Parts: sequence; C-alpha cells; structure tokens
Amino acid sequence: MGYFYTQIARFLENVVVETGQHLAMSVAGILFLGFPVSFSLGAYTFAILEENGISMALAVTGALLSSSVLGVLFALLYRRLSNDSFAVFSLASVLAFDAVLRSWDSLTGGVLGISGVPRPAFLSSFLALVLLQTVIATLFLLFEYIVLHSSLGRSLQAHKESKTFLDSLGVHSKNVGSLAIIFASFSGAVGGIITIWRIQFLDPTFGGIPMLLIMLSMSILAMKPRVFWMFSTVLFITLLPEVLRLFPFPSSIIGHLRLLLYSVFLILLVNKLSSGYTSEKRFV
Amino acid sequence: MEDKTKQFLSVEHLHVRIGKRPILHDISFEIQKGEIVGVIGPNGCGKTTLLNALSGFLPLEEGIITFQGKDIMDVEAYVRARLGINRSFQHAGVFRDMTVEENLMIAIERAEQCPWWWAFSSRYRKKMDAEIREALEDVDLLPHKNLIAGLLSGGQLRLLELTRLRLSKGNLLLIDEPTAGVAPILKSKLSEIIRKLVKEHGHTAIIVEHDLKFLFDIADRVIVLVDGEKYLEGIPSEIRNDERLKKVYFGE
Repeated sequence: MGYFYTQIARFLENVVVETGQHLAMSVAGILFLGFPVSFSLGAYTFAILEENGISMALAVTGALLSSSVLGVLFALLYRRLSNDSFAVFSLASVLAFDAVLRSWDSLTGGVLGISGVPRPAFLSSFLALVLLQTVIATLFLLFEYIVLHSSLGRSLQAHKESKTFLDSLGVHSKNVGSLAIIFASFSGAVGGIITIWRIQFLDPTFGGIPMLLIMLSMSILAMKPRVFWMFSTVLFITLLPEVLRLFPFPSSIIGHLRLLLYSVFLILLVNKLSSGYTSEKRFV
Repeated sequence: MEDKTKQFLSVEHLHVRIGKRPILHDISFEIQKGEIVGVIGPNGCGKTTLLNALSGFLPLEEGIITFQGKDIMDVEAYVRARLGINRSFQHAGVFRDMTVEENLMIAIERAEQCPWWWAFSSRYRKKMDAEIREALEDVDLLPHKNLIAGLLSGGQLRLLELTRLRLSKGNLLLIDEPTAGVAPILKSKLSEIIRKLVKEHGHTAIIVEHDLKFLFDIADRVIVLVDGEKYLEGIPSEIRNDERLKKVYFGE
C-alpha cells in the first residue's frame, strides 16, 4: 500500500505544480522554464525557516511569499524581454539556482542538503498527508476550472495566439502574461512544500532539470485549455515510468532510466506529436 | 487657428519610421464624428502603417495625434483601445483557436466591463447569449457559433472580425482592407455592416481599401497616400475623376 500511496502523492504533487504551468505554458503560450526554481525555493525556504525555529504556519507563509516574489521578478522580466529571451533567461535561472544551492552550504547544506524536514503535527500518518494533498490538488483544479471559464481564461488563450490582437481589444497582454507567471511560481511553491512534507529531505537535485523535463512534457501534451485534459496528462506522465517494470533492469539504474525515458518522450513529443494529434497550433 | 481639441480625430505632421526607413512623411488630416474616411494608395504607400500608428502599434518619430481632445501620442495600444480606438487587421485579427462565440465574448466582456465571474451568473449569461445570438444572426454566422474560428472561410473571418468590432463599442473604427480575399457577393454585406456601424451605431470609421468602387460607395471623404505622403484628399466624386488618381493607379 505504501507504494500505491506514494504514487498517488506524486500524482497530486504534479497536479498542483502543473496547474500553474498549464495556465502559463499550455494556455497562455509563455515558455516559462523557471518554475523548478519556485518549486525548490518554496521547499528550501520552508525547510530553512523550520530549522531555525520558525513556526510551521509562518514557515509555510514565508515559503509561499518568497516564491511569489520570485514570480513577480520573473513577470517583470517577462514584460521587458522577448519570448525567446525570457525562455532562455528562465532556463538559466534553474542552473543559477542550482549553483547557489550547492555553494551556499551554510544555509542550504550544500550537496548534502537538509534532512529531517518536519511535517505539520496534524499529519501524523502518510495517509493523512495524501488526504491533505488531495484537498489541495482539488482546490487547484477547481481554481483552474474557474479561471478557464472566466474572462481571464479567454484572455490567456488569446494571449497564446496573438498579443497584438489582444491589445487591440483593450486587454493588456503583458498583465495577462504576468499574472500567469506569478501563479505558476506560486503553484510551484505549493507543490514544493507538499512534496517536502512527503520525502522530508532536500538536496540540490530536488526540482531542477529532471523536474523541468517532466513538467515540460505535461505542459506540451496538455495543450488544450481543459481541466480534464490536464488531469489526464498528469496521470499519464506520472505513471509513464511504470513501463520500466516490464524489464529486468537493476534497481541501481532505474532512476537514471526514468530520466532517460522522460527525455526521450519529450523529444518525441516536441518533434512528432505536437503538430499531429490535435487541431491546436504547434506549441514549440 | 482652428481648435484641434474640438476635432474628433486630429493628426498633425505625422512622421513614422521603421528602423532607418521612413514610411510616413508629414501626414496631417482631421476627422469629424460620424464620418467614414477612406484611405487608398498603391501597395507600400503606408496605409496600414497609418492605422498601426493611429492604434498605437507603431511608435511615431514625430507628430501629434489628438483623439476626442486628448493627446494620445504616448498612450499604449491597449489603452487607446479602451479609449475607443478599435481596429481590424489586414489578415483578419480573429483568434483562430477559439470558437466564434469566444471571439465575441472577449470583445463584449471588455466593452461592457463584465465582472470576471460573469460566466457563472445566469443573468449575465442570458444577456451575453442574446447579444451574441443577435450579432451572429446579422451576419449569418449563428450556425457556426460553436465552431473553431480557424475553420471559417476568409469571408466569414472578415464578417466575424467586423462583428467583434461592432461589439467592442469603440468610437473610432480602423478597418484594414475589409474586402481582401472576399467574394463579390459578400462585399455588399460588408458595405451594409460598415454603413450600419456608422449611421446607426454612431461610430466613426477610417477604412483602408484597394477596392475603389467599394470604398467610393461608402466613404464620405477619401485620402490618397503615395510614397508615404498625402497626395490627395477630397470627396469620392472629386477623387474618382481626378486625373492624378488615375496616374497613380494606372500610370501615364
């Protein structure tokens, strides 16, 4: 049962992070690659504050605030840079943050990371954590449903097609894009916190490029502005590595194979699937 | 000296450059409320550039644009749209991955300042449905309400764009080549829509066109641009018979 609950927890964590990414990337068409930074920053901020005796509630608040501020910074840059430059910058931020985590060992524990990150006292069992994650993921899905059916949702869809046409209708396309990026950062932080409550250990490999591969695949595959489509995509991508169980690979390389599988899948997706299986325009 | 602030739209000594290349040079004209002004000229003379400059999508090198008494030189495009300057685009500025209905919803939401949650209110939904239904019936697009706009024909896209323009409730409409790629039978429909927009709904329009017959039938005044400069200006009957216009379009 432990493995089953772990898979459900991983799925729910991915739902929370992907909600923000779905709105920013799939719906609004912004190639925002900096969400692993928000994910890691949220988790590290929580862990560091907790380690220094800050209460659980304040630590969570601090973590969410720090990632939201990061989201605002990303949004400010988005307003000034071209789409391609912003994509490159946000990708570079992932590498830069990784370097900071590894070298600032007095704060982050360096490559050894931070262990024994506590869960809230009311989450006495793993099942209780999964139930909480279910509630949070449901709230995020509900939020996405409401946004997609609101004027903001239509503006996000229009933003993907043409910012010029959107501006000509009196909607400030840069504001629309900025909101999407800020929310993506926030959802990354929430995902980071609920993940760290599960694994209770942090090191620089938390988030980063591996997470980018997985979430990019989800965002490209889930390019329709539909909650059910996004939900199904997250489920599929989360369970994709289960196919490795069909082969007698040694357990020591399963983690690397998982990464390889996601990388190959992303390449296939970008090259072949994104233009063929849906009437939507190519995302990449 | 005439008070420019009393004009509906006043353009003075407009210069537009793209990179190092001058596109528009010393363009000046005024427009009164309720006028339909046509802009014609050979390819590359700066007609669309003029619309881009008026709507805020191109920065001006020099000049003054006053709209309803307000200087809009430094006003961004989306703000100009909120002030009432709405436009169409040369290649139909319609969101092709959204449905016909959603394309109109975006315009109405902004024009009527609907709250973000309006889709969850039955009162707002009924009002929106009725408005969209009436607008689509006018242009024979009601059967395609839930169709993805990208599946419409070129003429239908133009009709959808003009319908959205009407629902945007702007005061000044900048219409770029409405008949481009449109079958002759549809041109009369477009002409009727534009006339209705101005005469019945009180809009003012600047129309860029290549179809001189279409334009001369509906415009109150025509401006001819050649090589980025204002070459002629006058009422259609004068312009139509002007030898200089014939020289521009047909050569010596």
